[in-house]
Amino acid sequence: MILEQLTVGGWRNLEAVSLEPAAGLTVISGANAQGKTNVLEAMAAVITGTSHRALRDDELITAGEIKARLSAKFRRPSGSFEQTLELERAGRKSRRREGKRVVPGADPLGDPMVVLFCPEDLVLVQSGPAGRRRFLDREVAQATVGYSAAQRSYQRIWTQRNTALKRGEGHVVDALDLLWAQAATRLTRLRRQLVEALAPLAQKAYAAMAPFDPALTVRLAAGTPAEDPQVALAALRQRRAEEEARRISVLGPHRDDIQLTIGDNELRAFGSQGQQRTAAVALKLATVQLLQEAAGVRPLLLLDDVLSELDGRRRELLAQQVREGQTVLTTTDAEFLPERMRADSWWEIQSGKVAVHGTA
Amino acid sequence: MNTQGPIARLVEELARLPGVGPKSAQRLAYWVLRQDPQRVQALASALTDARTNVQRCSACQDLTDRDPCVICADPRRDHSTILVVEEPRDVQAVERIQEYRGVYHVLGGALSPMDGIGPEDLRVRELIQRLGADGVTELILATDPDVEGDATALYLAKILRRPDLKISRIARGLPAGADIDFADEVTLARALEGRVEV
Repeated sequence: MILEQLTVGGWRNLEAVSLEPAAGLTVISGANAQGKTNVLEAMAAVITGTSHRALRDDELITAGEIKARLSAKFRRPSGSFEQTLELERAGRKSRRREGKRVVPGADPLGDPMVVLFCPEDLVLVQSGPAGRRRFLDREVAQATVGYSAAQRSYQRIWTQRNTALKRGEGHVVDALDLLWAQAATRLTRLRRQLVEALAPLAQKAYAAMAPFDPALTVRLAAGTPAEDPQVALAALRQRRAEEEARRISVLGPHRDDIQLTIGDNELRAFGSQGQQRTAAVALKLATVQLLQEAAGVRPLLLLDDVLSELDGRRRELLAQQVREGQTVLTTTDAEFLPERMRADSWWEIQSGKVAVHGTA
Repeated sequence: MNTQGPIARLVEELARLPGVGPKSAQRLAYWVLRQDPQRVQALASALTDARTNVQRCSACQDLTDRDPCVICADPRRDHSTILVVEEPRDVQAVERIQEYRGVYHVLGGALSPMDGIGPEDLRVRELIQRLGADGVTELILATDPDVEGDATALYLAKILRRPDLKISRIARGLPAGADIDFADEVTLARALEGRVEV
């Protein structure tokens, strides 16, 4: 699936513009704080419906404007379609495909997918488990039908159950336990399957970048003790006294983590910074591959200023991915582009104004 | 528009109605002003009349203008079976199918700790009293099929369980007349879970 055109209006600092990314590599260059990331953010948001970094939607709307509108044209073998995202300051939000409300997973021909790699992702390994769960939920799970429904459903049960614990309503907690067991085990199963599919791909990508290191192992450290609802429920009931004392749910997917080890060493605690970064790159590359295998099309790859952060081999491996599908990358300096990375389209951005410099 | 006076007051009152924003309220207000005075009088008295004369049935807690309500007072209905719902409009929905011959119990909502709604905010005590007094042998839990409705059903099943009372939860699954390939995955998964032998 190719993003053929993106029309931006009222988005962050960007001037209204209609852009046509190349089917291969598009490079956006510009000094810091000119709006490079805002362009990538818009490309990702029109696909996912949310920004990867804004806390609230109204941050995304240009100061002085009342709404932001993104419109993207996608081409796939069966034809092309338009997908839009509209945000209003009043908080209203609408996502449409060919004028109809977007229902993720409902289109039998598949949804557009995106993998975004930004500098913050380089600390995916060092930072807290919440970031790794977000990575699973938002990126790795894109091709898994039913995942977001399972995740939302668990989230709601978990919130209700925590509140019931705080309010000291034991019988209500009992009732929610049964719902918890169903939802928690369903989400755990989905997450484990995703991580199991991701693991060999990440291991291979890691080995390609660090051939002398022991193998990278990736597994789900599940916060739910079993995948059988009855067993999970029994385990949860045993912890009730502790939960009542702490007034919080102690088991469940809200405590999941992705555990990364190199040989016998846990990467987060014992890995060098270089190893941790390599693992982060490997996880992203593995995600691109996983989605490609699952959906038959490579997701749009967005690289936000990460080349400058990477060295030799890691940059090369990323460059190899770049050649295989549609990629948009930002850089402050063209010198960071590896030799073999040839831009098909080159845009320059200054104070939110995008100028197209040339297409191959 | 003048922000004081009768028109402004009318707009403000209408804007309190659920689903009515200030613009619709204004449109409704001008509609009211175009009508015959008798027509407006009829609307006004219908509003006050409904509010004054409608109360809760002391048995099933449904809204009614007489106590007990028509359903609870009907000797032809099966008083040994109680169908538990969240809202009065759910009673209307079940009545429309003309299949159910038992009586009802309206909880007035569903458990939602997040919104501060606990068992004491629902008409659970009234239900327990009914189960203690009448010869009730069956309870059908027909709360909504969402987290709150499911939690409420499970809660009731737990606290009301006793050997001489049959408790069931209504089935969930595919809507009749629908195509399987049009069902969303959650509905389809639940329909599969709740499959029955043929």
